[in-house]
Amino acid sequence: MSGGQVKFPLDDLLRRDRFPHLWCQGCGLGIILSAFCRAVQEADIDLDHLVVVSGIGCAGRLSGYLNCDSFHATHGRAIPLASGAKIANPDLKVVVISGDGDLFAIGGNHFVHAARRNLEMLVICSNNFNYGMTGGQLGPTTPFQALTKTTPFGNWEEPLNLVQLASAAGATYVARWTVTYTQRLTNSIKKGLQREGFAFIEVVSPCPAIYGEMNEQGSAWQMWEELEAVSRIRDGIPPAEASLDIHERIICGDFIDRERAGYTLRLRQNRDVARQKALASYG
Amino acid sequence: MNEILTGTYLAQGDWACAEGAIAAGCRFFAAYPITPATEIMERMAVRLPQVGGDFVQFEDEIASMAAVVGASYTGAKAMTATSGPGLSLMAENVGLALMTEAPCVVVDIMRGGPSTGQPTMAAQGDLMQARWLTHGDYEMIALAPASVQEMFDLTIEAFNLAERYRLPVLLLADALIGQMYERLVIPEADQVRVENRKKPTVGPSDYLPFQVDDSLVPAMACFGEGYHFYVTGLTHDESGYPDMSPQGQGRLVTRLCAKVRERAGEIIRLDMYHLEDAEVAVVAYGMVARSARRAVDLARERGLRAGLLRLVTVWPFPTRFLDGLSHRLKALLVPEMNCGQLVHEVRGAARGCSVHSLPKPGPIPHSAEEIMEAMEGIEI
Amino acid sequence: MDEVQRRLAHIHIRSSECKGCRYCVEICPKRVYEMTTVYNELGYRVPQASHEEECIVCRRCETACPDLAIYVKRMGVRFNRRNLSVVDASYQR
Repeated sequence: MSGGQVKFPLDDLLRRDRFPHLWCQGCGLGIILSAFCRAVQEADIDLDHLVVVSGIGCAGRLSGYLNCDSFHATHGRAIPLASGAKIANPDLKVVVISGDGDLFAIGGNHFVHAARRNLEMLVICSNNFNYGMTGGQLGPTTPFQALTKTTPFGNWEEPLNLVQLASAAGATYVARWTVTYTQRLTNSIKKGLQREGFAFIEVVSPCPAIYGEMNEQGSAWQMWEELEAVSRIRDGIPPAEASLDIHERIICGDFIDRERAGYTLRLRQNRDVARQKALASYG
Repeated sequence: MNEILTGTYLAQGDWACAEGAIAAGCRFFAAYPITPATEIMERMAVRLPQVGGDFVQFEDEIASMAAVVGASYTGAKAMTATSGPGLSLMAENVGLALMTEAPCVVVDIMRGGPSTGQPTMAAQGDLMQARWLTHGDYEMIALAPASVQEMFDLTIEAFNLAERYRLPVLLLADALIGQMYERLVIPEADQVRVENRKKPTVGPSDYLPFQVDDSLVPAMACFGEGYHFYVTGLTHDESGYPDMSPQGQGRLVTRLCAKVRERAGEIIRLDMYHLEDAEVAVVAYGMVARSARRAVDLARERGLRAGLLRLVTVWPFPTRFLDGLSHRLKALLVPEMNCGQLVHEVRGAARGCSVHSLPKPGPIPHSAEEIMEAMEGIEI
Repeated sequence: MDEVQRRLAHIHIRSSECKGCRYCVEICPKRVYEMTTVYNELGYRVPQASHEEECIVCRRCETACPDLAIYVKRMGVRFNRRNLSVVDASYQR
């Protein structure tokens, strides 16, 4: 039963010398990492052409555990950094994995515009409802009335619905899962990896050590059980109906799945036009 | 489509900068419109797709600079161009480029500031911002063109320095240089000297992304080449992994500074005019240096042994040279289009003579007469 | 059927990387895992697969483990039985 010498199926995709990882007990980020690796295997993604970019925060550390080209960018800037890489070398398979604060508070503008452009990249957001790395402050997805270190009397702001934002901004694939749907999550990531357009997956992920602790949600397993109890799969429903209330109902599923020309494809077309125009004017 | 438009032109400074970038091999440009740098991006929007490159107008300057770093790590020569307010927004990711040693070029066409200031007018208020743009310990390289021809030549030089030392290099021009028209000669393609970054000579299993030799500059693998390397803005060791040890910080930032400091002699370019026998010399850069050159001529006509030290490279600062020079002079005059920035650096360096400030916070540069009169007014 | 023939899996646990969240213990439909009183070097109490022979290789524990510390290795089955003549089915299909 010792795992010491046995090679595990995901070992080739991981920087094994970086383990054990730095995440807390029961943190959903390890589950996302594991699902991502299985999806990369199942989608048969060439590791030499895979680039994973993350921002700052707990989720920002995920790229450092993957055995591929990976970049730990500045806070909120994973998407534009990844955009530069994808545009300059469209042969790369570019993935951004980061947290709700990084992607939607400080980096929110970049998310909107990358989705609008339909940049060919997969963005996975680990949504744990607070800033974990800095000790549990208010984030853009913190539920109304939830306790954080900066809302010590209860959050008076309304949270952002990430699925609705992504769909409105033009993402061609939009899904939400909780980490408890491990197999569905893997399948969804696989779908996102295979898409030639802007794909977005929100993963509701427990933060037992900080958010759970502050809001008296019990042990890691109790948080898991509550997530399972309130989650329902509603594939294909309009994003407007994809509500998220962590104590009442978390609607999961594939919500948007549509085709639209990718950004780097459009850039190639622009090159062709530019060259033709240049030939016409210079002879 | 020609990559280098060999010929003689009546060209705008910003236009020359764009053509210089393309001649240097720039194939990725990301920016956000801002006066008086917009003409650079407009020219890039026309030219880059023609030569097989990519131009993208991003949602802001923060994204533009982040994208430049990402593109640089695919092996592309990448550039952005902006003015003061945009440069302020780029500060953090210029720091990322310094920390991750991503070669790239950042152009700042200076306008009046702080804040929105005078968007269409010239100033030289970003000199210290160019040096201390981002937080932490680092050395910057910044070049200051004083003509349309130099907008072309120094953009190429900026790319070469960026590739050689693996860092972001600033091209610091004022709005007058960026937007004026004058004669530009673009040489034959084989006359353009282009440098490229050092690539790893070992395979992926032996590659340490931040291991250095005597040059202190690591060889750079790129995304998609199979090296599977990790890059972080955190303090890191040779392997690229985060290093939170007390020694780790010192090792990294000392090297990042040393790779420039130890080569300052190779990097710094100075333009000297009548310094051999000068008693009074002007230290200036950019547009003001042009007035200063005329002022030196006027002063000499009136019997004052005047000279000019024009800084082509403003950072790293030629501290040692200035100190040596100051011991041969009686006084130094520092005219600049701001309330006094360069003068502090000159005072810190020049211990052999008096240093006099001639500030003028733009947008009209000093006239030659103003500078000449100031030289004559110095008691020597 | 004897014990050896019924066993479908070997469960490997990297106990040194486990943070003791109990997900595996709670999630397993066959109650294969138990918490031990052993603490690893990280200071967490670790589980063990006490009833490995009950494992049906659903891999719920493996996919839910936040520490990527579980590997459920499907075993080759030596006897022929209806639709279950697995020779060496590793996870890597």
